[in-house]
Amino acid sequence: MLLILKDELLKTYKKWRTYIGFIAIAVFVPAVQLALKFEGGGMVNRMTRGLQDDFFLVGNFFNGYFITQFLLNSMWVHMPFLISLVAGDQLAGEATGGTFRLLLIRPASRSRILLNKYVTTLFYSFTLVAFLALVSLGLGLALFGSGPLLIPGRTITIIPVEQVFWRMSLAFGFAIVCMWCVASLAFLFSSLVENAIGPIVGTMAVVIIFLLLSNMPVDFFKAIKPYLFTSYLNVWQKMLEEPIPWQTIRNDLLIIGGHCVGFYIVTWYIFVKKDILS
Amino acid sequence: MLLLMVAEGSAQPSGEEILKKVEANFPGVQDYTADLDITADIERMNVPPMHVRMYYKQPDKFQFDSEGFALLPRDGVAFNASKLLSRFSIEEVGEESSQGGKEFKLTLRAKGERAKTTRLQVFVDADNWKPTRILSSMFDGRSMNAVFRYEKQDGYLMPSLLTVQFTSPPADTSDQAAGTDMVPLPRSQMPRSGKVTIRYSSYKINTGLSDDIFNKK
Repeated sequence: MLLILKDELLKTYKKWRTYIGFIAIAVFVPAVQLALKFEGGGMVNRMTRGLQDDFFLVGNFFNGYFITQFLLNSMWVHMPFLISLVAGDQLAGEATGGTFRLLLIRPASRSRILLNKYVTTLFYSFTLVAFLALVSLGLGLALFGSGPLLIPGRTITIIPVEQVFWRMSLAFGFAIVCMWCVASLAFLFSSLVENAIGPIVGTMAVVIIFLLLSNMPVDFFKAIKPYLFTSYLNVWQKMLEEPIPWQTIRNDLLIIGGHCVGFYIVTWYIFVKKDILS
Repeated sequence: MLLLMVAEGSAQPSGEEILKKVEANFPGVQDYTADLDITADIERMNVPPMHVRMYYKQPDKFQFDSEGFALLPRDGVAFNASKLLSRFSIEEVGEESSQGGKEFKLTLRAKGERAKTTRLQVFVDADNWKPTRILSSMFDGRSMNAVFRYEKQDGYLMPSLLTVQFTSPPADTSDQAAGTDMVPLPRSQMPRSGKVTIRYSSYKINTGLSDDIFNKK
């Protein structure tokens, strides 16, 4: 089991496409942070202008946590693309390369090979989100320092500095689970075709269409929103609400986890029944 | 009889005189430090209890330090009588009786047409020349009511409790469609109805605060 997993991890991390996501994050995040550093606290001032009419704001609100939250908000719709780049290639890539039959002549069962590929996919998703956390939080705190987290929006929430780090860490943890769901879908699509382009485009199409449908102000779409897995992909944001809606978070995570398991079971069924010709 | 009435009428000081007496409201206090514990219960705002250290030095220097953060109502905490006359003109001076005795009621009107606060009513205790209440009316229909309480600290009458109540017209409190989280809210939609309570404690008076404290950003 471990040997197969090691092989799959090596195979995945030897591919150039695996690093596209890391490079994108390594370029985008510091570029935004440096631009914000250069601009100064203008963004926070603009967001809190109305508040500052009536109040003195004491404290460093333009801090690493604020920048990280801003980046996460900007990127969470785009992360599925970076995830599906690798997840969509896991099975279809073997078909494209003509290495499937070679892989399956190993003594390990198809189920075991599939499980190892799936674990590799989940590990890639974990490392990508963890890398985003490391770069955005690490560089953010180094450049802008620490402080309370101001969350603008319909309701303004301020999280005290002593609570921000653990809340942010859990938010990233939940973001990883959300990306596992997207990775599972791409993995499922990957089992259906012999070219990785299809699963990547297919995953993004599903995510975008579901997100559009669930955000449309139409009653019919509002009714189907609870049945779309994309409605729960923002569970990480709930860690930054006050008070923390633990019950909702638990339910959302269970639904996302259920989708991961469901997608995997369907993938397994397709994969073990599949007539491998390449 | 007529002379007596005129003399009694002239006993009421003018608005400028009242504000000058309020301005000198800390006779003998050159500077002070106080700890402020703040609780805010404001519509559409989730803010935990806050703690801040306040520094004051005559004539009008304020500095706030906090290890975390704080939201402090501008018109209450940093009320400065000396600056009022540059922004407002006195419209009316009256007298009211309060529980503790007599109060002067000053009605001020903003000089600039684009002023945020259009009308201000300042209630001043006639015995100790301390502001007891400030009522502000703002251009967008909102109003603010700040109520001060004082206690003796080292022989000086200092603020002990400040309650600031914000009231918005009904249109401001209507439920708006959920917007994008990172887009700033229009000013009229900012959460404004609610109450901020500030308790003052741990006063240190006339310790000779350095000007450097007030130069911090």
